Amino acid sequence: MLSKRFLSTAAGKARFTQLTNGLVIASKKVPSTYTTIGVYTGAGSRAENPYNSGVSSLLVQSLANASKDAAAKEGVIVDSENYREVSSISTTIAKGNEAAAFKTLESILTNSLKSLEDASFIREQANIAGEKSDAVELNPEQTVIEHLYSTAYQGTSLALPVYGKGEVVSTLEPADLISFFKKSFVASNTALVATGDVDHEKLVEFASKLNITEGLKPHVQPAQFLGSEVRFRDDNLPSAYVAIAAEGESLLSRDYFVAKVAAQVNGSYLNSDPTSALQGSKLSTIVKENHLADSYYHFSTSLTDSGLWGFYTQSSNIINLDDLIHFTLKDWNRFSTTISEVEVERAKAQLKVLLLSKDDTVEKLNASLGINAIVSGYEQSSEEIISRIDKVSVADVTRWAGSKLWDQDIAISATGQIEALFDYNRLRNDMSQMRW
Amino acid sequence: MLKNITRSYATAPVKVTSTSSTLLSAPLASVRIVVANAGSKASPAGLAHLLSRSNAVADTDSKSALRLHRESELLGGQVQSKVTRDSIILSATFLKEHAPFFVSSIADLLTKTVYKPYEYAEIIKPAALADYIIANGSSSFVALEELHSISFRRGLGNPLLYDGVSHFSHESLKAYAAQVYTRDNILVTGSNLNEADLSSFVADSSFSDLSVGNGPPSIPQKQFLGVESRIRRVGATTAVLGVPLDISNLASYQLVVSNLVARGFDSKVLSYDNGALFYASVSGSTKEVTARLRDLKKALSDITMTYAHLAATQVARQSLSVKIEGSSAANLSKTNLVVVGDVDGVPYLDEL
Repeated sequence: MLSKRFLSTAAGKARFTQLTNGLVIASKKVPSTYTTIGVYTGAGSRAENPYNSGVSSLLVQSLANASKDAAAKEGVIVDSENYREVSSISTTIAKGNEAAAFKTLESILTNSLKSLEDASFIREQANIAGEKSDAVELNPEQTVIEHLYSTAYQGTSLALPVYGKGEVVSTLEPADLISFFKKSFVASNTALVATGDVDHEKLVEFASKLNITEGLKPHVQPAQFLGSEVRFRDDNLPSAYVAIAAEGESLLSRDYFVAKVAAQVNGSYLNSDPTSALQGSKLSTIVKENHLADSYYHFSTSLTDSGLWGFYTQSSNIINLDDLIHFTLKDWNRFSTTISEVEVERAKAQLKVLLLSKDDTVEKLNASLGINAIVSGYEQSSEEIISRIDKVSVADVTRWAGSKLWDQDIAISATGQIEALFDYNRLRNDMSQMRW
Repeated sequence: MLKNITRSYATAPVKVTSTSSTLLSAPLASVRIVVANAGSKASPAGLAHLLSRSNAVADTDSKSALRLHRESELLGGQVQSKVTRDSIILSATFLKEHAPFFVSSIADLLTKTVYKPYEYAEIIKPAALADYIIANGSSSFVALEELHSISFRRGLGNPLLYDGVSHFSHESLKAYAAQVYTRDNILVTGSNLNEADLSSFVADSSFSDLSVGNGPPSIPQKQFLGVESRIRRVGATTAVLGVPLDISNLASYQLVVSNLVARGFDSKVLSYDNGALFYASVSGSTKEVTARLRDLKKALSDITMTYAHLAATQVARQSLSVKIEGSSAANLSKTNLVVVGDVDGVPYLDEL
């Protein structure tokens, strides 16, 4: 009995260790033919300022690319990734080749300054990073979401785009990268994270030999949400692209799952998919019957001290855009008043499956573990997630919506053919109604 | 005696297998039903895609599509159906305790779907065409489709998606479903489910109503090398070099792939039941494509196997069952070429 239980829960439970210098080691054993081991640091675009915007993304990209060829000869694939609060360099190896991954990571960290000092290499990397950041602007969805952050958190570093601004990134020099590296890759701000067929003890042993500077976690400005809007009307684009959000919940908030459940009540919608006509949510029925949108999805995304709760939509029915926004915001009103038990239960069931199945590769599992290691030093087990979602009641959703959605300020970001998107005050007024 | 053997084959249960070695976390489980020999290679152009699109959208005898969707929504799961060149694959991910519901729902889709003329015209065909339009927006999708077409002509060369060229009706769907939804074509795979439990769910469902097929069609897959095709269209330009392969030959080409990927090219071996296709592609403006295509051709002619370890990692990452060690050298002297986009400045095969 005991051994059976051990077997069934052995996979998927993360282990954490913290060294005396502050470095966190996290690992999760999952059945896989390959393993991902990465170094995560709590310095993404939020740790930047307008004059070095894009440095975090350029830094991890340069460090990864400098070692790529030598690593490839040993069978190690090196990747880098950048988020708002975290950035990472990851190595992927076939089962049993951990030694090569350790060697690569060690050489990345010890030879880092040498590769960052190479001005011509950094110039080349800055051009690649500049192209990556320019590419964001070719994708209306990414543009709208980036601008949603930049207007909602204007005046703070959270407003900076994740991959930086193209015109700033391409001017960055070795000195910018070196000073950012020294500030952010300190032990108390870094985690060594592995997922796959890993031995936690070996990982700790490797981490304790790593040469990482000690130092304090760099201070970041607190997030400040401001109701505001940003519009970039472009009638050359085929549709209207709009995102609207109120301030949501932070990662460690007690209402984290309540907000997630609320976002799932209307979930997502894709008009070209025939199942869009079969969906049960009230909003989807209105949108389908009147063809108000081509697609939408609701989100509840969280940062360490703030979050955004809202929706993104894309519509080629540009003359009825005002109807789409009106009916959506009116549906959010219901969350504080007449949301039904069936809607909440359906949202809860969908959220469970969605949250537990979204990380379907070792790399994605490792990225989630890395973010958890940096943010909270802890990862909730699947059972814990399920029981927390189970506890969310209709009364919780109503209470949360009453304080976080009803008559609250919103941030609006839009591009494309948005002539029919009403002015800010009209939309802000839709966040409440007189007859309740 | 002979009669008995035939009979025992005829009532043999549907093949079921289950694994607990999965990334799916423990409270969840999933089932995946692969209908082999039902994919685009076995059907008239696009019919397999239409049939796959009708799953979970057309009503069945036991339940309307609306009821199935609403019930699955309440349980948090959804039945999905997709088409590949080899097969039609139905799958669902759900909380473990809901396995019987999803197994029996999928079984009903395969055995009890009613193909109605208006559902075909108003729901299934537009949905399939929407898939085609979205996929067709990508020049690399168009290039790979054309590469399949010139490398294999029929079979694996059939278009993956329905493009509106051939005329079908609900009757065609009905006939194709009866032909491919047979007991010997179907494999049920569970993740995080006990194999005995899954077998009993399958036995209790309408999977047992499936008829026995005539076995897989034995049309040998032909391959064509040294051919090229160019498609003029607006948008990004993509050039793809490719070689059709036998499945026995995968490892040596996987080595080539790892060398090309390490040098920054997009390259892969696509493996199917009765053949495979190695390709390497470059995208961008016409000028970039021309330069990169020459680099690619050069890289193919002087491939040195510096990246054998990398191939092992890539194989593991894609969970392929390919043994890299001791593979023979890949033959790359002759390739196929497809260019899509602004083709004017891009060289022909003999000019490379």
